[in-house]
Amino acid sequence: MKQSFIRFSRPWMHYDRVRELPKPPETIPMGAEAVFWIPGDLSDLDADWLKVGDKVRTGQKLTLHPDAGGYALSSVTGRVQRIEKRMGDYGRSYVQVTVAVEPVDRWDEAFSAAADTPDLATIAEWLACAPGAPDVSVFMNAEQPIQRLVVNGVDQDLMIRTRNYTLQTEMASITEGIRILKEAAGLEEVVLVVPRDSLQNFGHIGAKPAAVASHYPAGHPHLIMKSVLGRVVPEGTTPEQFGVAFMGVEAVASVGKAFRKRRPPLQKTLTLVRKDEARLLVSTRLGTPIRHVFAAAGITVADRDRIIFGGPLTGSAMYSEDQPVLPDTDAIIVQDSAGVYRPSDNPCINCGECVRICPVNVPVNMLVRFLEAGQYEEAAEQYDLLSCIDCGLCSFVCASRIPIGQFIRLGKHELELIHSAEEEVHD
Amino acid sequence: MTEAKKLIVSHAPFWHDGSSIAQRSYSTMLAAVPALLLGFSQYGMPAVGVAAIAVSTAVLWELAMNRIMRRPETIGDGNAALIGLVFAMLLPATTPWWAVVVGTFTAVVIGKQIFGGTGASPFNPPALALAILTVSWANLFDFNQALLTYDPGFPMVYPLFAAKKFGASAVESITTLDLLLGRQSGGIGATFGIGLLAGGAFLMVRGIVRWEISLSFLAGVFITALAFHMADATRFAGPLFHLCTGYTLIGAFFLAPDDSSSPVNFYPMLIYGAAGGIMTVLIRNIGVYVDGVILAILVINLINPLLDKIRPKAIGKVA
Repeated sequence: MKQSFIRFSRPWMHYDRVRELPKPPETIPMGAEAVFWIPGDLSDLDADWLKVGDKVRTGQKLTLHPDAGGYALSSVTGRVQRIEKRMGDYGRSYVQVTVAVEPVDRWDEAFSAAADTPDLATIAEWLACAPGAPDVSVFMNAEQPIQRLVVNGVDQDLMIRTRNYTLQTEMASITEGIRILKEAAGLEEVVLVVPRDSLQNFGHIGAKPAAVASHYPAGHPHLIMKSVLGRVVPEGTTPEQFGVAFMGVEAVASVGKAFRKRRPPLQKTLTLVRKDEARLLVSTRLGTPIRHVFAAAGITVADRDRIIFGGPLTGSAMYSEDQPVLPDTDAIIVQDSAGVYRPSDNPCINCGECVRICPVNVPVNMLVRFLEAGQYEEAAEQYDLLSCIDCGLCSFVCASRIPIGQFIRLGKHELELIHSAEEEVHD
Repeated sequence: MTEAKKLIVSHAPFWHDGSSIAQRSYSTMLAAVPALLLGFSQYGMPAVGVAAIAVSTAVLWELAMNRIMRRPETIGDGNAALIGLVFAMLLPATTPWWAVVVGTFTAVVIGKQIFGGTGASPFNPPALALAILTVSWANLFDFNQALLTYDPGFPMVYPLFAAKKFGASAVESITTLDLLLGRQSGGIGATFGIGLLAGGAFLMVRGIVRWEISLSFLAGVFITALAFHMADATRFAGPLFHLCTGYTLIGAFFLAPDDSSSPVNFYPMLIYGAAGGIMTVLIRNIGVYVDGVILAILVINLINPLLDKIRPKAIGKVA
């Protein structure tokens, strides 16, 4: 992605879209191993409940002990081969279960029995690890009632086609998912948000269609709140506090599909971006190690390359090819080491590109000075640190190549620590 | 996993638009080339010499300061070279070498490095250097004296001097076309109107120079000069004369929009530029100095931090 020659106005970066009838994704067959992440620590594991050598069936829930809340869904039939500890961002810990795959699927029928009652408990119990990671816990918080659901049909970042593809091919599942969620959560209204140029005839889907601009980051929940629902989300609050929940269109389709077929969906559609930025829509089972995805797509990863889960502006870099495809992995980008840009320690030259591109009017040029100096509270009070929606555009255009996004995330994190420490003192 | 590859892990975003400080500096230097070339052809080797000394010593001062302050070497980003080049464009071709060296010292060390280097200068370094040198050695920068020996085929009276001392009638014979074609006395790279306009247009299209600043500066000059001219056409020259003489064009495109000393928000940029333009003509027409651009730019540099407080409220900001 390079700048255009003419730059006196801000650049508009469009979400990826498929104008013609989408080609079916290339299906990547399951490899020899599948990997699942169960939230929790290795010390929580009940060795009699889950151990190496256990048989698992397709669609079976994997938990650390009989009463555990966190789970993963096995997408394959096979035997547990290894159980290891994994660390995620901000020190979150997971237990990684590796399963040796057997060629023939034997389905676990527990969900089928539960599928007669399509309520929130069933969805939370069974579908949190379905493609799109439908999270219905927001509807179950009695203190924060939700009246509206926004089904987000805009992809999370540039280059990604997952939601776009789901919208064009799985309308029946989406309609069913909307109906189920509406009834289960007692919603007043469901809004389906799509990019303006992909507005199709949505007919009777039980949701009010609404269009947002087709350029990044118009699909961000806070910007949808403003442009579609006419409500500005004040800094430090969430749309949920105003009775609005957001869910990706793929998650809604997963809910619909699960109850129609009485089996949890386990096939994930994702965009694979090769080193030359060529995009390939692939369909693979959840839990497939990305090493296997790369082998099937003919991508070789070398030292000093970069693997990104998610989009180029908001994704996260992975440190291992053993990483499995997760329910919210909408894209995997492989960058060649030659194309990896390095941030620098140059100071801000005050060119103002960041200020002009910021979708929420944060004075980034001033903000970054305070963040560099570690003055997080001043940054939040005077220079709008908490209004930032983490879209990544300021770092993208920074002539000094300052890692602004990283400074902002660190600043928000430190501020949270300061505030929680203050609260402890007051208690 | 012994065969694990070592991947690069870093924070989002993973794309960059390819811009850099070096790209901005070198693009600006490229935009200066047409105006400089005409200066070289009019004033010959002395002009080339002044430019060469200015660029090279600016880079050397920067390197020296990097070493003395044990900071990373920043000469590669081209900012020091740009300061030297723009400074040379402001000078008469006959400036002695020691004055050029002192000037780049003032620009790079006093104007930029002691404030913290690239991006930290509160004043435009070449403008600050020229102001300090003009105060110190006024005769060196009097174009009438400095360029006395040249006879390029057009009157070598500094147009602004003539207009100030003898009124508008003294410059009636000078056409706007002459001024645009560089048929006037002045700094090495400051007289070729068409060249400066072309360079400025290039920089504005590339987004390196903000059009808000440059155009409001020119509008400020034009409107103020027009008002004076309409009030007393015999004493005050017309707006086009003021636009094309002295440092107006180089000021609008190379001095005022300097990144670190100019605002970034829309309305502040307009106010900043317009204030500079108005101040320029006020100094020229009723002040004591012949040209007002340098001092006007230093004044707007001064109000820049205050101006940039005029900014839109962040979406979601409470109170």
